[in-house]
Parts: sequence; C-alpha cells; structure tokens
Amino acid sequence: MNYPPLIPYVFYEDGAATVDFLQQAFGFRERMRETNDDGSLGHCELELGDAVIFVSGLPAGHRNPAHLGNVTGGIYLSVPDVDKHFERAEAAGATIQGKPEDQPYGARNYGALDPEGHQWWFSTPIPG
Amino acid sequence: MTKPASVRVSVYVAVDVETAFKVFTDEIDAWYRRGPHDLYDADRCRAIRFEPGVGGRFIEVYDEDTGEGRDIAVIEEWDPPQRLVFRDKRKTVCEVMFETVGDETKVTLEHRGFERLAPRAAQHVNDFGWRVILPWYEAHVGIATVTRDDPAVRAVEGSIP
Repeated sequence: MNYPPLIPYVFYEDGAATVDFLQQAFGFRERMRETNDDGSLGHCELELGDAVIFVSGLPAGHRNPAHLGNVTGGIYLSVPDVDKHFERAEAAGATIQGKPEDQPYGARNYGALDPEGHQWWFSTPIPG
Repeated sequence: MTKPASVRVSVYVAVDVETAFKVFTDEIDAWYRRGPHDLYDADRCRAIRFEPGVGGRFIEVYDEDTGEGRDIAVIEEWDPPQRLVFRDKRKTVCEVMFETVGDETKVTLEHRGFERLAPRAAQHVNDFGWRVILPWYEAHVGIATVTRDDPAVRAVEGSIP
C-alpha cells in the first residue's frame, strides 16, 4: 500500500456516492474506507496506478466548490491513455470541460468537474 | 459527534484466489508482525494461527507443544477460497473476501461492530487495526511472488535434487 509524498485530500458532502463516482468515472479503485456509526463516510483512500487520493465527508465549517460558486484548486493527474479516460468519464456523467487536446507543453489533456464541483485535469504525455 | 463503526480495506495480490486464501489463513504466522500493539501478549506469543473451519480459533499460541494460548477470535464462516468470517472477544466481526479481478486476487477485509466498543477503543481499533495489518499480508505475498518468479531463484531451486 503506497503513500506517495503528496496526496490530495478532497472533501465531499456525499462521500459514499462520490467514491462510487470516482471509481466509475475516473477509474480509481477504493483501497480503504472508514464508515461512521451514522453511516457517513470517514477517511477513505483511492488509487489509480501509483496515484493516491484521500477522500472524506465534509468536515464542519467546510463548503465544496458547488456551494461556494467557484473552484479554489484542482487536481492534475497523469493517466496512461487520456482519450480512453475521457470516454469513460463522459459516459459516467462527469461534467466535461472539453475533449482531450494536445497542448504546446507536451501533454494531451482535458478537464472535468466531479459532482461537487472540484476541478480535475487528466493528462497523458505526448510521445517524443 | 460520530465515531467510527467499521473499516474496509482492499489489497490486490498477484496470485490466484486459492493461494491468496491459503496464505491468509494457513500461513498467517509468516506475515503477521508480532508487535506489542497487535497481540495480547507479544512476549509469550510463539505463533499466530487460524484453526480451519467453523468454530476454529484465531489464536495467539503461547505453548507450541499443546497449541494453546489466548483466543483472539472464533471463526463463524469458513468458505474457502472465497470468504472467511471471524468474531473476536469484543464482538467485533471481520469478514474477509477473496475475488479474482483480472490477473490478481482482490482481498477485502471489513472489520465492523466498533459501535459496541467504548469511543476510545473504537478509535484505536479504527486507527491501528486491520488497515495496518492487511498491508503486511499484501507485502508478504508480493515478496513471495517476486521470489518465486525470479529466474535466479528458479535456477537454484531447479538445481536442488
């Protein structure tokens, strides 16, 4: 069970539903979850290749981007095949911000929002 | 204020489901780390083992000759190689599931029933229990698999009459 030096920790109002979404749409797999005595999601860990994210229910006093009305940060994740990833995310109902495009800095990527408005970008390096 | 009720941990190991079950149960003494936090009595513990079958014990063995020691849990369901359920002395329950996913076996352990414990005990079991222990199993299978598949190891094994 790997713990890379940097692991994003993202909070969701509906943690359990979002964990399902992150698996179906973005291809993560769940490796650990705590469930609280009221049924809510505690700490949860997901991985995609060597990447790891932590997820939990929304702590008191926090608001997600959907309620704030704006994004405050984003997660940029390398995947093996960004076009396949895009098809999967789109089919699963992610809020797509555009099809994958080649960028001048040597990556092919696209952006998407998850159901609570957090910003994601998915990217594959362009060979050569 | 909520408190933890259960933890579910999944690891993926590069062996078939039969091997994954066998290593988890028959070979637990090879991978369970006998530290003071994960045993009742680490000083006296000589082995840790599952007695196979429903009613079998998950036991810290203190006397190798008799196989006796302190029971950790009792096996309630024994369905190799898919499933294993055991209930510990505090009435919390562990369900272990083994399923084939592609070339690997996904091993999921759900430890539940923390609501039966006092809040501090629930938090301790949540923070320092199977979420820590199951990765020991994952690492053990990983090392064993690499060793088995290593051509150098095979060559040596092949030379043993």
